[in-house]
Amino acid sequence: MIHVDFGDGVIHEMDERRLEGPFRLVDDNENQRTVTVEYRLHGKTVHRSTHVTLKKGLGIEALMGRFHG
Amino acid sequence: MANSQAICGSFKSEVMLGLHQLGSTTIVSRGSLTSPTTDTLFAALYLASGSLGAGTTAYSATSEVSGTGYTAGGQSVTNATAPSTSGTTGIWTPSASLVWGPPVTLTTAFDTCLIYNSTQSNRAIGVYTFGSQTITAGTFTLTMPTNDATHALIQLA
Repeated sequence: MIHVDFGDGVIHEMDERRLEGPFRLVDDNENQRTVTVEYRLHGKTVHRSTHVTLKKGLGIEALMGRFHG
Repeated sequence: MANSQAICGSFKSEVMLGLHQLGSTTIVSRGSLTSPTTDTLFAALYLASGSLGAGTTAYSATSEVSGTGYTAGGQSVTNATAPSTSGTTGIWTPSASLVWGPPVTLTTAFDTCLIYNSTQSNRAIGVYTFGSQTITAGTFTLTMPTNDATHALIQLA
């Protein structure tokens, strides 16, 4: 069973065999890898899940001051 | 406007003030330190039309996503691994992925996750951006990077 939303914000469950898909979309770059899985009904997306893997975080550089002279 | 990935400027000074405690520790020199426990962190999602960035100082509901299955304020961050040192770099990364759903429906495009400290007045820590997303009756999962000197979610070099 797959959770589906027909656009009204109400979530139902439907038998996967009645849906088109799964359609798998992958976007991979240096910062993240994104995998999206979609199911459609009559061409309209009724289920879309996304998994983003962050490849790196953010840095803080600790700088040293110096005494004058 | 657009969201910009950044460690929040306020967090940099607050670290030196000792306002954030991402791991449990005991500081014996502080008579007023009565509760040496790890702070609770939260993660909230923001619309791609938002303007979060280095100037963000605290959690705000402005531009936060809304939809079926999403709770304002986001969700708690699993933090089982205290900050540590890799070589000469201080590092910290949540110990589990952030997962919204199943199921959740977020129909307006979002591209940002704000990590903030709910124990300390919702003070902001970092703004993390990713490719713009929408979710339909599904799951949104944000998996953390490797906790090392070049990938950790927070690196203090």
